[in-house]
Amino acid sequence: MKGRLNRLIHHLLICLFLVVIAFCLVFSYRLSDRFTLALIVFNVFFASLFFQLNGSKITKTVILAAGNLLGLFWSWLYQNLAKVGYSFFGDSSNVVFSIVYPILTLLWMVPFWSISLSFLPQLTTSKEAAT
Amino acid sequence: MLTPVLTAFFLLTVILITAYLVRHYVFTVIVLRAAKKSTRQSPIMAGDYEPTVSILIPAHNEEKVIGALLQRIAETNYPKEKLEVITINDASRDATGKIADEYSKRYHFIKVLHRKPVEGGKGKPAALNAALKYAHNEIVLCFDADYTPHPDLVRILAAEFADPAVGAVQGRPVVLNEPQNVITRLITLERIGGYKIDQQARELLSLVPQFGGTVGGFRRNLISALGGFDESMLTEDTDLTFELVLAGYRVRYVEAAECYEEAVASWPTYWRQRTRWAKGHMQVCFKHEFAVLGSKRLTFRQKLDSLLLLNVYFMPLLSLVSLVIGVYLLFVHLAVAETLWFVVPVSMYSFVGNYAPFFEVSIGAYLDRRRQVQWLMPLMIFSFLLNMPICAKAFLSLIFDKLTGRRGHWVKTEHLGNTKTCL
Repeated sequence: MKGRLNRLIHHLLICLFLVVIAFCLVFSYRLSDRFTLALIVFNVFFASLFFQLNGSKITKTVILAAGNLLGLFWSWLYQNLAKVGYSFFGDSSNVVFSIVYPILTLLWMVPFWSISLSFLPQLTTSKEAAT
Repeated sequence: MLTPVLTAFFLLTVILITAYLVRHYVFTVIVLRAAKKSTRQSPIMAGDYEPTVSILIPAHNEEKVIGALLQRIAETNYPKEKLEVITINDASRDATGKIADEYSKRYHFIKVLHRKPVEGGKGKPAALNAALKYAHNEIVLCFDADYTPHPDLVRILAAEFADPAVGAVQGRPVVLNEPQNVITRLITLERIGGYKIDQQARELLSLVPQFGGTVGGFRRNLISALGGFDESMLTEDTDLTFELVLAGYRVRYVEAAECYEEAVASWPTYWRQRTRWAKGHMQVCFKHEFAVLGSKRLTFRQKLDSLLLLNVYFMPLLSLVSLVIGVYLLFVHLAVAETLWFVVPVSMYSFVGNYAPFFEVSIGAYLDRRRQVQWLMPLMIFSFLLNMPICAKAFLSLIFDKLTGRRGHWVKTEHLGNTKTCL
């Protein structure tokens, strides 16, 4: 009974964090479609590689949701900087922001990716698991 | 007129960068899946097949490391009656020859070939060719002087030659002086990407793993048939890989054959070593590209992978050009550039040499159980920034050589024996 309850709570938590991810995607689209694209790329790479590693699904989903929240915050910060830049320098600042955006996106994505791997236990082969 | 040309070039580079990204994504997934299953068993168990082996050790001013390597090789558990070790004292000005002579007196299977300054010091391929004249055994293994092999290594590598289709075998170099400084740590990441994922994936997918010139070997009769190593090549190992593959032989990568190496520990040494690698790789690309395209022995997948492998050192250069063109196209508000621009900066987090992107390297480090070094992933950008001018210099130097007929000279990597404290 307790096991089933725990499983249910786990599933509910996973659903909750999936909702958080969905919220991030929707909200980023309201900021700009390129922010959403960055988050989609992050989610696709993360989900397809990270979820194959050891560790509970809940841990991985929490990390994925944290990555989405960080990405959203980064995009929001970036957009506000772009607005300030536009008010000072006009149209040319938009081009500059377009140029540096993917570079700055990688600046959060790469460290987040490398640190998040540290939260997972090491991979065990089926041979090791059997012993 | 200029904008359409630049747009076409930009599109081409974006396609190339995407092709490398897809390739390395597939590699990562393949190795990850294989790692979850039990370790792949070689069809040939070590010990079943024990051919006669000649080990060649080219050494030019290697007094700090040569003794440790010879001691390790003397401790190998391979049958000594099937083993000969030829140390090539390649016009050394230090005590390399003396140390090698001492080992030669202690162990009957260790021989020393002394090359005088008139004939020696002309690079590794020349030294290997000189030693091949004295090598009598079926299989030839090569080790650089800074390597530290474990006792089973020769046995594991030699056993792979039981398959007559195998022309060369490559083991896995592992950086031993990783804690020394940030450069050695970055090289550790680069090696993980290159071997743990790249080479292993190519082996698993039956593509073309690369013979790396050390921690590996080849059949003596094949190199004799080729007339020895091409001494004009600065990366004779990559050249041999394609010579063998085009002749219909397989090159195998053996993950279990780990051997420890001393990574370069200063930026000037890194610069010199990588310039030679880049230039040599480009030489091999020019030499074999069309032969690979026209080869009837290679499958479509092997051809595609070989072409990506051959062109890999052009990528930092192309990325630099596409970054500049992309910026220009964004300033003229070209829709294509605005849509595809996000692909280009990924190059900045791709290790040069195998163009391994950050996700591949970090998964490799995770599989290798090296947690701390993977935190340095963001520093990959410095490696890229350094490799852009390195590859540009190598390319210009190669073009200059072609135009003037000048012959590229071998730049020896200095080994300081820094691994001793790590053992």
